[in-house]
Amino acid sequence: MRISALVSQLSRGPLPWLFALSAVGIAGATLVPETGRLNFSALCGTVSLTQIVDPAVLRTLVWSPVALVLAWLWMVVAMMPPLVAQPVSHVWQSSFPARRVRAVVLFGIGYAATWVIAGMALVPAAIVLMGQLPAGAAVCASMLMAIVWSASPPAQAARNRCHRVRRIGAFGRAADRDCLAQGVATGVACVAVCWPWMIVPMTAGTMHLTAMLAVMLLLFAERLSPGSPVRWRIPPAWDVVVALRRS
Amino acid sequence: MAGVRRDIAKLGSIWSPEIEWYARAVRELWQRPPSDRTSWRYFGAIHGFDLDGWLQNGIVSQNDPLPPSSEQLRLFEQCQHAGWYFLPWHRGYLAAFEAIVRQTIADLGGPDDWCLPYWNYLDTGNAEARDIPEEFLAASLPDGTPNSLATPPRGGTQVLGPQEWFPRDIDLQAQSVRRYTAAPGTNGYGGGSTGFAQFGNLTGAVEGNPHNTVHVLVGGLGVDRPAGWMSDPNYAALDPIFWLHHCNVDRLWAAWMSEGSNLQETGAAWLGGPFPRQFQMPNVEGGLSVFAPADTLPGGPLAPTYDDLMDGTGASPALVASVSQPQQGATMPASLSSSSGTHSTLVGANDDVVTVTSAAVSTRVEFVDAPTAAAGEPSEQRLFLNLENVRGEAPSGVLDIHVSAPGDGAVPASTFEHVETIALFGLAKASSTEGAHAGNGLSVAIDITEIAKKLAVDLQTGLERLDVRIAQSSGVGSPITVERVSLYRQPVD
Repeated sequence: MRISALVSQLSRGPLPWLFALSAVGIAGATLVPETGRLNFSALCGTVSLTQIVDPAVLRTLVWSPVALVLAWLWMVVAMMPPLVAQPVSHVWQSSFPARRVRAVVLFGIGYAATWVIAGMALVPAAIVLMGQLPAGAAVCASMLMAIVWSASPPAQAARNRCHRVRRIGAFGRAADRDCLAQGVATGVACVAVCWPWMIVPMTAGTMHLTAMLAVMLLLFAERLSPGSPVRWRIPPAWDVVVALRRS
Repeated sequence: MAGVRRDIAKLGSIWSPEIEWYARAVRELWQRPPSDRTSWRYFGAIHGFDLDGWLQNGIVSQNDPLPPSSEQLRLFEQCQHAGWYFLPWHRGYLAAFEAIVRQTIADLGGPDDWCLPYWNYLDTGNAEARDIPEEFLAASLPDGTPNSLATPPRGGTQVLGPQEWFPRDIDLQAQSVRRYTAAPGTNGYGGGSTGFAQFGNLTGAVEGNPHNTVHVLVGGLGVDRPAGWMSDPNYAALDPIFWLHHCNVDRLWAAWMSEGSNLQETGAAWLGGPFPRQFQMPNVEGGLSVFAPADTLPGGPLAPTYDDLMDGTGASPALVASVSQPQQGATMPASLSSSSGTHSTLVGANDDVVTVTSAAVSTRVEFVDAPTAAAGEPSEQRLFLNLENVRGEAPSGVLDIHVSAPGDGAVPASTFEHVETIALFGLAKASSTEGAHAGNGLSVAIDITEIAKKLAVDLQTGLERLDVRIAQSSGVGSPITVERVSLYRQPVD
């Protein structure tokens, strides 16, 4: 009965479409050559902190900024869609039928823009981490950081904020603005929850794609959990594991 | 589940053995520490828990032991409102409470077959049905000891009915809503679909009235005296009258399911939900039991048995024969459905957030096109006025809503028509962004099909916009914001 409830829950609203988008993102990532992925394993232990802040050195380590942004966005598209089912459903239901696609697109733009800005800090952070540590140590460090973060009160506050919906205007520019703002608001909460987890695949070396998939599922499990008091706790993905075991 | 639940008014004269034993059990359960899973305060916290407030009000002291925080995370703050789990969660809650009170009464030397009575306040055959039962007001028990049924603060009325500060009567209109689950922006018997949520996204019809209405009428709004516990979800279940009120709401659901034309939700997400956090209740052994909504349906282990589903429920006479013999796990004539009906769509909305203080506020809802029903074909579709994401700082609130058709050049505006007076039980808790909540407030959908049709006739033209006037009760000044006022349309299925 519990498994049926979960399956039914996953088949409701926009979730099937969002999982499909995620699947396309992950499948597409497998087609990208290794050099085009956000995988910095080649840097392991080769760059010092003083070197990495030198633009000339940085240019030799990473390919073009545009490609970097696109690769980052591709990673976001592959991992994040299932997490935004609730706000997508909200902007869809709150809009006139003729404006619904536009509303979701604007939400997506606001959401993606937030992640692009976050990427400006997270991608260099991954480069620094890989430059400082051997490959195995870097992925362990990034995972440890992510687990501790997930257990922390600020992460729980951000997870609670992920459930927050905003007013969506129905007409004209106000409607566009509100959809965009909902995208940004959801994006900010999402970044606050997920940021350390996004570093994990970038430090996972040849396991980059596997790590992307695993982190996506883990973050989705966290998103399934309802709001909870803001305090230290076992990361909420564990709740899903427990619920599945009970089933 | 053993036994038959009966109308408190039909148990005999005041202080029937059932009620006297209930009072003794309440006193005994209050004496148990809040860390005890079978204690009164533990059960109150399952519904809602605010440690600071409980300390300030002397409900707990700094020295009282509380359960471990991991247990609080799983057991406290579970109540489900404004969504489709409202009815099954409260049914499971009642069952657990009843079992523990029954065991307590047996341990005190009373009968071992005690059942929770219900407060049948809508029984038109009883002139005193709306009065808070006398036992819940008396200062002492028949033996002269203090009466624990009467000690909780109540700031409302002792006779249910319209008040100056809440001009709304209790009624059975909800019983005529056919479908359990509401599509977005529409009105369903049980509410909108949601996950585990103390306050979900759409209040169900029976939750709105009589449930919310009775909570606010008994608890009050704090107009001329402080609001009582029944108006606040963090305290409501500490008042012994709470349980008799909810027992009646539960009976209304049982009666509703006995009507063959109604559509009870039975989709897998509802039956086995929510996921991953589950509903959990203490049992008489002091352990914990998990349950799902499926367990609360007729035939399930938590399905209750009532002596009567007719008086005060609005059930049709044809029902009487089928339920004249109370039986465990009675059949459910209501049809089963895993759908929220035909798709609903937004057809109009206002342009800004509305803040209501002591003065009434008007806002205009512009339509994207003229809804067909308003042009005179009400049988084809229903129109629902929505108050979305209503937020406020008071524990509960009341909003009075009128609509009119604005004039247009030579066409004069229509007069304002009264739409509804809604009770917003748990307003502050639903609005809070502290703790576990996202602070989305409460959302309500009101069927205005007939009113819209009348306005269109008055206007002698298609209805293209609505003026909506929203007011709080007189004497209440704590602001309430309505994030959006909108209009949804749903074809009749």
